[in-house]
Amino acid sequence: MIGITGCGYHVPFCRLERTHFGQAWNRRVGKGERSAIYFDEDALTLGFEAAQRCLEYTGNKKIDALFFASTSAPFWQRSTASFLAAACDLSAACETSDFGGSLRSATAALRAGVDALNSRRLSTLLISVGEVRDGQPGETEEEWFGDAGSAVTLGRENVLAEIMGLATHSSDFWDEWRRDGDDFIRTQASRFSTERGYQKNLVAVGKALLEKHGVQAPQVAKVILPSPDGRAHSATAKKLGFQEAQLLDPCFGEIGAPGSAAPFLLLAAALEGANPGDLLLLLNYGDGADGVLLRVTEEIRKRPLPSSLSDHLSEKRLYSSYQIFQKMRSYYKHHQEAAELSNVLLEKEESQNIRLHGTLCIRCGTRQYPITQVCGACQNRDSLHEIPLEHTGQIFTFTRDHLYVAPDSPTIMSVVDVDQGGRLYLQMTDVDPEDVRVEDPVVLTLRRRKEGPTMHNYYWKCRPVR
Amino acid sequence: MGTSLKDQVAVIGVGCIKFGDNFDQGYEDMAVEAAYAAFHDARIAPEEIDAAWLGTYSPAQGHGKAAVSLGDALRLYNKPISRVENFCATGTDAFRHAVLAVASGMYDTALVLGVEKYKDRPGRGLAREGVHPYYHDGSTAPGLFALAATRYMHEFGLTRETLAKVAVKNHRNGALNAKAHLQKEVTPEAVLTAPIVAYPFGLYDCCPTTDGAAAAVVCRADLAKKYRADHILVKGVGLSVTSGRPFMDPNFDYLGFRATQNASAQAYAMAGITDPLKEIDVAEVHDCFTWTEISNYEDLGFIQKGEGAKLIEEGRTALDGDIPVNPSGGLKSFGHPIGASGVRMVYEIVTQLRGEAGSRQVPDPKLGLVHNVGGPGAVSCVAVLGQP
Repeated sequence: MIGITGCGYHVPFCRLERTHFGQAWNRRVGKGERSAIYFDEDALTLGFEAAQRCLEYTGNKKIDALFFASTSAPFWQRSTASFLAAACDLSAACETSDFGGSLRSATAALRAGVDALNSRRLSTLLISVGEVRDGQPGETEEEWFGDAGSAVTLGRENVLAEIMGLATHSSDFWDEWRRDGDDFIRTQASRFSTERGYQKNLVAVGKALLEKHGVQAPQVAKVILPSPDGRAHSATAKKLGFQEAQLLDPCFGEIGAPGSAAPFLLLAAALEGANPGDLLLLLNYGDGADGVLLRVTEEIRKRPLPSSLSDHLSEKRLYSSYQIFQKMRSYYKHHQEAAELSNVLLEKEESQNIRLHGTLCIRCGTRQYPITQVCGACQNRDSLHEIPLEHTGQIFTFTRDHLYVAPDSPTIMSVVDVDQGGRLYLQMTDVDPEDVRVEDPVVLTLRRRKEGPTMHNYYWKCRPVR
Repeated sequence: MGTSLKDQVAVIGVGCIKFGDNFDQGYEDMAVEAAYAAFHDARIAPEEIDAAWLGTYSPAQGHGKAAVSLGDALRLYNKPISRVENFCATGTDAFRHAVLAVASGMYDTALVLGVEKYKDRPGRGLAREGVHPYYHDGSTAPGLFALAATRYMHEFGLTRETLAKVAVKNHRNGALNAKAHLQKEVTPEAVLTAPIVAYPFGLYDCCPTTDGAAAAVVCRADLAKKYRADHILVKGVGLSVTSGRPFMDPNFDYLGFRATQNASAQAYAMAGITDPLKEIDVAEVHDCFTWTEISNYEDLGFIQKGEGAKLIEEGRTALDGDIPVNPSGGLKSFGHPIGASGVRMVYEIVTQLRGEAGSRQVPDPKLGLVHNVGGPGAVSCVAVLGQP
């Protein structure tokens, strides 16, 4: 049996209410909010955090391959998947691939992954997806799009939802695109685009998949359909013969349309409420359409998902203005203040800086960071072992620093005692500065740090547990 | 440990310029003014100086990380000159080096010069050099000490109200000092309502960024009378270096600074001090932030750990207290040009011991202490000076 063995997601802590787009551009807007990155987030960090949550849930770090999917990866040339494999502390033997170019990139990765599992070339696979979606300022898409990360693991053991079948459909259709030099996604949004693009492709692939497996619409427990506008999914489901109650809420009012991150994010939401035996139909649009038919297994009872999407979405910070939303998205484009890092340093220190390895002294038991040649506690030089540090800990002390130059002052600087040992000095993120207390539990998260003249730089921060 | 240098080296002259926003003085102008004030005070001619130590964290622009900032300023060439840099203990450590060299018998006389010109550089309190690109991102000087203050407050229940009393005291002293940067008193309300720089430190909990220079001339104690009858003797010195990354040391309790505890223990042992609270009559300690002064009371052995607040609450460290601390106004009000500060503290203690401190004079001191602590508690240097 091949199927989904784990899932995870990360919706940015920050949101903007759509009314702010109306105020900024003096026009009518839709209801609800869109998710919006903080200045230290991008598609890579969103994908990382989703992958981190997914791996924490499965508790399995034996991953043969990591695929990353996005239409907004931070590098045109440089593998996000390879970087994430290091950040997830996977071995160099891990197969890494990057998928992009289409909103179907996540389901394209899934199709490739299923093939690799079927051929027995791979046995466990992590797919991480991150999207930061920028509409043209002033246009409707700016308000409709959302940012998010999502991840799934695929495998043959401990399967939560068996993959019954896949279907795909290609269509070269101009409704949404971004040229290589464009900062913003271009669209030709209209009823024509929705019906000829989104609806026509999804209905075709959905029908084909159900027919192939002899499944009637009423037999499907949930239909998972990412929505580009909060409406089109509903009409499409109806065309496929589904009732409104079978349709999973695409969270358009809470997140918006997070592109490639949507399918696995919504799949996780569907799995939360699923019962063994439930059939799930996941349909995904983008220059054609992909369909996945899944059947939930008994495993869902043994390993219930650790959190609910609605809880995850309920903890948030609302940006107070459109200007702040824009500042957070563009800050590092205009503030390239870090010195260029030498790849000699980056290579030498990868295991501590990206893999978060430290040193364990076998003699006195002290775990320390960064990697040391002499034990800081007992000065022993002979019994030191490189070890991975935990990603959870507790605030030992902190300060709210207003002097440090940052797009969102004050910067919380914290000293974190990592669970099992090791102490780190980290910026804290995704937190109301007034809410930080000594001894608060935290989770480590990888974020964008000061931008170099030509490189994006990443390092660990901590955030509250949520 | 080797032999003590107690009473082997004399301070025969000190000089200090007006600290502040010295917009009309460059690095060299300040260096020359301070050095010549010390030469004049010591009744010594520049050519009689055998060797010199420059304490400077940020050398004169264009002069590189060498001793040439001193040599070129004073046109003092063909002499052995070393530049010392050891975080905020730079000035005291430069003094210590000169004392060690004279005590060794290698030189009869030595100049110590501390100088910094910060107002022509951007980035107040921001770490710009020598930082790791990852580990220090977000670090500032107040932020680093605030980490200790937060933990200390959590552990011992110290409040911002008590911290404010340190600022009020040191501003009151500084208001009496014509050479201090900030010569004005502040009210507790002003301290508590000032904008936060790095919680729990508000603007008045922090020392300012200051230009300044100070100098001292030391010589063999047996030759001191040749220059000045009322010279001051070095009783002891100590230097301790602990981790520059306390925030990554899992065993560090963040309740005080081991470097200060160790450096003062060394200096006390050399000076024969067993009860510093009783024996020391006046102290210039490193009050870069208000909390640092309270921790210093404890780390220097004036009072037990966790009880430092009592000394400020009970007024015992005020000018008329039993252990006056920072009669000069401290870093808080005198200003803190890093390398100059330690030498400026030597200047203040020598002035106090000579009874020349005017309206801020502590009554009849016999023994005085100079203390710096730098980096986030990583480096501390202590000197004990006294009457012959």
